[in-house]
Amino acid sequence: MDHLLSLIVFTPLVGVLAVMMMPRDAKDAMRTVAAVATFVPLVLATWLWWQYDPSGVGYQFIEQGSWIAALGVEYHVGVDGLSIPLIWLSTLLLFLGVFASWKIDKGVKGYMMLLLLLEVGINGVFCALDFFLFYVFWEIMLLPMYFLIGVWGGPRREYAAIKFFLYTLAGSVLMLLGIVAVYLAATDLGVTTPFNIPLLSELISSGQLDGSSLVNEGTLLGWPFLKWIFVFFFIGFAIKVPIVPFHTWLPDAHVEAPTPISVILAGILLKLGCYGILRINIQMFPQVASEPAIAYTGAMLGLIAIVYGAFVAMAQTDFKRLVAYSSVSHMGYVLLGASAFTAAGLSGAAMQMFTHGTSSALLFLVVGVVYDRAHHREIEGFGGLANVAPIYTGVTTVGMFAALGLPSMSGFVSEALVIIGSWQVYPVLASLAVIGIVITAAFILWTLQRVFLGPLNEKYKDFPDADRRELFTMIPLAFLCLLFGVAPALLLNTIVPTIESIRNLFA
Amino acid sequence: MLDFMFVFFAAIALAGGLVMAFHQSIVHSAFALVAVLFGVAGLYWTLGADLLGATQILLYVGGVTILLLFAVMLSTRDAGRLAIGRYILMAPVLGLLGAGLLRVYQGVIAISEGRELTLLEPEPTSDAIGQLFVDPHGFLLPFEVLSVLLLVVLVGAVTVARQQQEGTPDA
Amino acid sequence: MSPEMLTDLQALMPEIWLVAAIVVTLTADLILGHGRTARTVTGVVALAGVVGALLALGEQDTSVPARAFGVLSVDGYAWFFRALIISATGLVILYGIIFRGLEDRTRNEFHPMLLGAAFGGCLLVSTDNLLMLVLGMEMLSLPSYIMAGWQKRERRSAEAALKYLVYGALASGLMLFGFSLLYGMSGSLWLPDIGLAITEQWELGGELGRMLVVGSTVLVFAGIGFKVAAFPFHFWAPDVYEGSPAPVTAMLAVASKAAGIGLLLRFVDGAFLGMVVSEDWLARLGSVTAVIAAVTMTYGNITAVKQTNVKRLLAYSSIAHAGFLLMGVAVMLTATGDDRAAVETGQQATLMYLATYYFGTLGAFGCLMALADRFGAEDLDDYEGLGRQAPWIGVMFVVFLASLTGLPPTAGFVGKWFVFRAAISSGLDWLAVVAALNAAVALFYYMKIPVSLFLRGGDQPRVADVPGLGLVPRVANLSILVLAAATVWLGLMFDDLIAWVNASLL
Repeated sequence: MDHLLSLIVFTPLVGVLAVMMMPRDAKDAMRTVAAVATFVPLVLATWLWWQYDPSGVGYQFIEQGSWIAALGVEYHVGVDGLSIPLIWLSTLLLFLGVFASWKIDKGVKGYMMLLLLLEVGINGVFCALDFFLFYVFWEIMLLPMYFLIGVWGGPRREYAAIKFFLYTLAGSVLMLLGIVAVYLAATDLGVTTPFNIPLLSELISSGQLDGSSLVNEGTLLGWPFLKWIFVFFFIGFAIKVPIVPFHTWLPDAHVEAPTPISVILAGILLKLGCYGILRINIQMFPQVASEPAIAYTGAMLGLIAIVYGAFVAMAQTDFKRLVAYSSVSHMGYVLLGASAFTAAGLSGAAMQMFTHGTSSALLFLVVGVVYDRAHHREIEGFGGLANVAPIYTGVTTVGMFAALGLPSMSGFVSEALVIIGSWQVYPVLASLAVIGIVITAAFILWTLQRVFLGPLNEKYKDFPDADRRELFTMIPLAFLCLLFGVAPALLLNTIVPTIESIRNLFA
Repeated sequence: MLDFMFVFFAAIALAGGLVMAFHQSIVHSAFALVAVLFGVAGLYWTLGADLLGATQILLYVGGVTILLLFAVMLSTRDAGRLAIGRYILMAPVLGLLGAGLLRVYQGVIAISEGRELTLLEPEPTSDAIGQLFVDPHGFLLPFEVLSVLLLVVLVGAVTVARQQQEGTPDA
Repeated sequence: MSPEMLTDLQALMPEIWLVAAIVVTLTADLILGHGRTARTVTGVVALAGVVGALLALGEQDTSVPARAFGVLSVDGYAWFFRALIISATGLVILYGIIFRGLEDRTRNEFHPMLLGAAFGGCLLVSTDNLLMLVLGMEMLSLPSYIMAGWQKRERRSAEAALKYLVYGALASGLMLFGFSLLYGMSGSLWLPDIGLAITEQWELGGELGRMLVVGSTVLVFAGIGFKVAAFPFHFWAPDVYEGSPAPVTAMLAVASKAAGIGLLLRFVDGAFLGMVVSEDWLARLGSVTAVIAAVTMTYGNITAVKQTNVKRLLAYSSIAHAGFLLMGVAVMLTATGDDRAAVETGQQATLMYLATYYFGTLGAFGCLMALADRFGAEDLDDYEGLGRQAPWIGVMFVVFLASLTGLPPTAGFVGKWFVFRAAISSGLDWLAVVAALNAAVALFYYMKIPVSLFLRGGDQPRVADVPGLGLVPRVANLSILVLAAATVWLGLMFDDLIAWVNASLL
């Protein structure tokens, strides 16, 4: 299979074309096509993970060929231990997303086409090893996401969609400036493929590329050229993560988005920002990233996100908003762990991306089920659902325990790794981060108690339990939450060798 | 004599310009423009550019001003109340340009003061220009292009004017 | 006829096609009257003229620049701009046929105006002779003034014509005055001679010589600034763009602007870049241009945010795009000394941007007209829910707007990429940052259109004013589809475009 990655990335595009050709009324047929078009990449991604050799160094499954010769742009894709779990997760969530969208009846054609197009962009970003390609995939995600929120979303969807779009675009134009600058500096060195991410990482981390050909002595307004570029990239990715103070688009987008889109947003899109920080900011600019002031700022931002997100989540009365803010908090761990540059911290960060992808996706599905039945999401408006919907409650409990980091759940492993890893470097910050864990535990348990336990709210005495379709979307995620909690090595075996090679950059 | 002619035509042009700029009615302004263009044509004559002067009359007085009048007629209804509004913002820009122009004139005058100006007796230029007009490497192409320009513009002007005529009875 | 004359005429073949089409449409109109037949015949003839011109253009080999009639420089640069202008005119003719605002009685005379303007634009971009520059400018402008006022019963259209005429005349006057100063300095109408004279005046003419150079430059730039609607000479643009019939607006926003940019680049290249010694002055001119570019794009974008009329919104956005186009000019002027590579980077950026802008703007206007044709929709409010009823047009509209915003994988992104690259490579980093932020602002108002098309509106379908699609609207829609496909294709595969632009540099 020489073109495995291309197949994973572009199979959904075939689905887009197929759906485009179908008559507008053939709704079930279109849903089936979408399911197939997302299932194939899932199978291929599973095969990819199976075939991946964790002990190998560098990228694998590389495909490389000239694309825009005049600029030195290449079609260059490849994966390593950092991207493989995320690709697999995204293909899984998109597949489940199609089933979670089964009941959407308005404009099925457009919806499925956009969903499939979104998958192309997501997987493309994780695979791309060429900056130009990376940026193209990055931006391809914008419009589908905008319309998915804007057309199929809740009452304030228009506001949420444009806010999402504007924030993300503002970030990505900064990123574009960074890419242009790095490109120019690389062409001045005589590099013929000035977008090649591995090559650029090598040139920059070895100090050969410092922008001195572009700006005087490599400094601009008193800052080194590379530091500017680093900051541009960081802001671009931070908006996507999102890191406080760039997070305000997230709750609005989550609350207004339809359930499957919230699942994909929380499960995958947020990880793209983290992935960018690890892949570009840390791997390409290790010197800048490990500068004490910068690293400390990063850790501090992570801590703020953890504690702030948890406190704000606790104050929410809307179930979905609560889960959205808990995402802000959980993404803080990624930044905190990554800023420590220890093996445990970085591995924890990479693993947290995956585990949060499963647990938050599951929780958004849970919220979706409640909303479908009750048409509201007020936490106080329920009570005792466990009495009428035991299976549903069971699945929910798994997701919530994974989110709060109960031992034997996947969230525990990653959060513990982050705390341990950052403790070695920033003991004060790490101990403060524990506060976040406590608050998270508090609000999750409190929510569990208010919604599912206690006396049954009479209004919902006919609350039906989760049906088969809903279980089909939730059970796999719940299973993953348990699996990687019990056997984290399955995941860490893939991640850790890559993390070690990143750490070597700082040695 | 030459001096007198120059002053005479310059006065016509200047007076026309003032009327054009300050008269309330835009139609009067348009007619004042005719006087300006005529004055300038006279200046050309005094400088010996006879053909240029004739062209000036033919093209500008006869053609462009008429087009302008058509344009004025398009908006006769509120010709008196030309919305100045935010266009007043253009004033500083144009003022700046005007000030710059004055400086440039100063320069031109200063340059010419330092030099010996040999005043040639003006000679008619029609012959030479006529030759140039049919010389493929002279002004043949510009000449031909001009004819297309006039054709298109005339047709356009007539069409717009005819719309006016035909449009009124329906209303 | 001498063989020399024959080659000269061959170089002019595209223009000859256009003029022939003018004559034939006029004659047909004269003979056939205003009936259905006449409308068909004139429309077909006008389109045939454009197609003939494009074919003739296709046969030209510009790898070796040639001169024709002593005043035209038939090089790759001219080829590039003529191709843009003529093909844009062809589309505008198509749009004009479906555009309802034109009365049937005067539809036939509309074609000669368009063709005449295209003829003027072609001359304007292929000459380096001041006289032809002026003539080309007038040939482009005069029919445009008339076309702007074509819907005479519309108060706004009449107003647009008058404003355009007054400001256009002012612009021509300023430019002519600048030209006369240049002619006075050099005694020549030829740009390279003028470039030498400028250098001479600057170096040897003392303070007065410098004053003359600055004065004439400011005047010429002001005149061109009017044409391309750059701040602070943009005042006419919104009213004229909004008031003119939509096809005319498309013509002004694409062909007219392309011609203005073509003139500007050739002028800058011919008259100033010879000034090897006077770098300081060029640098100053460059920074002024950079500031003008920044202000133009910011002003255009910020004002566009408030608009509710789609045509007016696109008009303001077109002012903003003029700012992006000027970025390349600023880069050309900032290039120090005889650094030809830097000059070419700037030129390349402007040409790339223009080519991508061409697709986005023409396409957006096409969609605008298609929606106006079928639903009579003009304001954002009228657009509500139309995307679900006319999904193809809606989706294509989004593609064009994405391109105008500069989102990959559309052509607009490529254009943005090149101007950013040029700005950063020549040290105008601040300009690149301003431009990047402007892209985000642009997104905000461009997205208002998809918001109306897709996000708003009830489930009740709007009744189309025109129940079925006739042949011409179908052809027009097809051409929009081609534009949309090209927009996406060029966003992904732009090797050929780069090669073409590189072959078209001065």
